[in-house]
Amino acid sequence: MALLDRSRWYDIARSTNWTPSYVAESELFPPDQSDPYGIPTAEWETFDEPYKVSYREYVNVQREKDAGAYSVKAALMRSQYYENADPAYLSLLKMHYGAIALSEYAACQSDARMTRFSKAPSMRNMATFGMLDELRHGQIQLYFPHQLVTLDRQFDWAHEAHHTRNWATLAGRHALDDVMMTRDAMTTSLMLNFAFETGLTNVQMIGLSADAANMGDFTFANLITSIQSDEARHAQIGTPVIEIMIRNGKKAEAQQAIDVAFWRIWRVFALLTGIPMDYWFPLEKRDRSFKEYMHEFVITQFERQLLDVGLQRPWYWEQFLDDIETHHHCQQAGIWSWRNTVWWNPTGGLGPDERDWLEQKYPGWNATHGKYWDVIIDNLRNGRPEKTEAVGMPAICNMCQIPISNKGGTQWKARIYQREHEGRRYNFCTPVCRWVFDTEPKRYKDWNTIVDRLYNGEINPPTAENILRYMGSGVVSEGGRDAHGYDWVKGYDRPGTEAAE
Amino acid sequence: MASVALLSRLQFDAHTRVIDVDAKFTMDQVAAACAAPAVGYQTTHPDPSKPLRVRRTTDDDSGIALPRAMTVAAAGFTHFECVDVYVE
Amino acid sequence: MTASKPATRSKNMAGPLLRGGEIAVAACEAIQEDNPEKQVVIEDHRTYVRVEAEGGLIIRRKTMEEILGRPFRMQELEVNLTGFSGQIETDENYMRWYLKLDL
Ligand SMILES: [Fe+2]
Ligand SMILES: [Fe+2]
Ligand SMILES: [Zn+2]
Repeated sequence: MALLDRSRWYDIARSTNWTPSYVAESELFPPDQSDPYGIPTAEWETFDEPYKVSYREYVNVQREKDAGAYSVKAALMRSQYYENADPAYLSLLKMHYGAIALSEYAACQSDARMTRFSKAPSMRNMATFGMLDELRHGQIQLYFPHQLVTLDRQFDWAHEAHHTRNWATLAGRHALDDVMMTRDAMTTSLMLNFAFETGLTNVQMIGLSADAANMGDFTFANLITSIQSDEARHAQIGTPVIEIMIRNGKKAEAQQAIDVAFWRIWRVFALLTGIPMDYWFPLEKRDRSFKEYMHEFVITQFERQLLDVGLQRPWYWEQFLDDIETHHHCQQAGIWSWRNTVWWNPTGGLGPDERDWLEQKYPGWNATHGKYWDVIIDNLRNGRPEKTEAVGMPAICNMCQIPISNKGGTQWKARIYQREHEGRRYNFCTPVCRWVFDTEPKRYKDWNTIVDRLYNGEINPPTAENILRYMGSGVVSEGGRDAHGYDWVKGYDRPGTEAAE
Repeated sequence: MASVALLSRLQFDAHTRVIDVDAKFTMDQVAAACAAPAVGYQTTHPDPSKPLRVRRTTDDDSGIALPRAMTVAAAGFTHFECVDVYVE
Repeated sequence: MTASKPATRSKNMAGPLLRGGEIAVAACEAIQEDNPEKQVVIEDHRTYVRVEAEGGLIIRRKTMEEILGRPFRMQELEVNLTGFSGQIETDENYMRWYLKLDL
């Protein structure tokens, strides 16, 4: 039987709006869930998705994608790849699955909100597929690490991380709850589909796949690029929303939503992607630096897309470019020093050759971030490993929930940007995180960072062991230690490779 | 309570830190408390030939060092106030 | 600093990112055939191939069918389309990547 071409029936099939008679439109589509911008329904009905797909096509294509991912996994299972993998590489997987797997379920709920509350029928249609996509991402990224739990208990965090109060989980959840879970359908689309999915998922899901393939982990490389093929489609929900908002005089609102979300997700993803790329992969397996990926996918590709849909680069672009040189380096250092707080084993990974590579990719690295590691390397080479374990607490940003750090060594850039609000003092890592707070203090003011919780009695008693227990470290699994047992420091035994002169 | 949580910016340190100080501490003792978890762990003393001084953090770094013998109580520090710890 | 991206790269490049493999190879061939007037830039990054040209590209179902020697549904490309630069337009008979603004 010959099927009609999709284009012959598509317009009829997607026009599913009706005039409600039992309830008012404001009850069917409450503004705080649907559209707080007050754009007429007739305008939303012009939503024309650039990436069209029918349900029949969707099911066929998704079946093929899943068959591909699962069969690669099954075929490679006997290769004992993970049993013999570099422990720092396994740390990347632990961090990825813990951070991402349950976030996909959150994304599923966000798409469900668009499916129910969008006034644009075509958007509801596309969001339905997006919702099913995210369900697939959640399930497949729990299934894949599950076999690894018997290998190493830290893999249990794939499922557990989101149920703990680990600081890294709080950072991820705070950003994702803000961007995906607590916004109306239209703002969610701007923040999730455009800022997050179009802007930043590429670097994790495509950039990391190149390094993973170099490591020989084709299961993971294949998995994340398969996931990204869904993202490339449902991310397109955002573009028509922007067009309609601009046409209806809401350009400033669209721009602000994207500026907020892009920064929030950037602060988290720089850790997830930047740290493994620039520190954990063996030098010879590194495809390119994190900064080079950021230039390819964000500074070149995403910025151009932003301009093309009629918006501008975020106002903080200069600060963002500086953050690409800074943020993940500081957090690699901090996470390594406070390694017993996390559920993976980070490696210092800084032999003389690795430092040369970093200096080449990030000119000035040795004079700033490098000075930090000079102290650590000196302690390790002189029998003081206990001095490499951080004591006390760093100040934490009330927005991104990440320790407030910046370039040190020969520079003194770490600075806390404060805001007094209703008698409380809030601390921020950058003027940008503070600006996000200022856009809507009511939304953010009641949240407590892990440090706030030490002083408001929630972590009681506020002892070092109890803080770790509170965060799930030593509970779900043992906390982190150096992935390589400090082996990387042996590189300095070679003559002429003194770390610190 | 007799102690207050300060947020410390130690010169050339990559991290900012939360430091509990006693109301009776002098500024020299505050400086020592701020340096304790940092120096020798992840950073070095900015200039061992000089004493570490304490000033309130300001946007334009124009604050002046508080007297070394001044106490926390006399300085009037409050919860989560930011201080710079540095050599002159 | 961007050694892999010469400063001369046009601001108006658009095109697909494809997962490496049989479909990517066929798609690269089809794109070259379907865009004879364009200089197509193909960057192979092993797990993905970036295919771009000034002002964008089109790929046609008919051309894919000729190259693969079998029927091809345009949606099959989605399995291997991990992203793209520019904007996208989809149809049963082609996919197109383009830019609205000329910078
Ligand atoms: Fe997803
Ligand atoms: Fe997604
Ligand atoms: Zn922040």
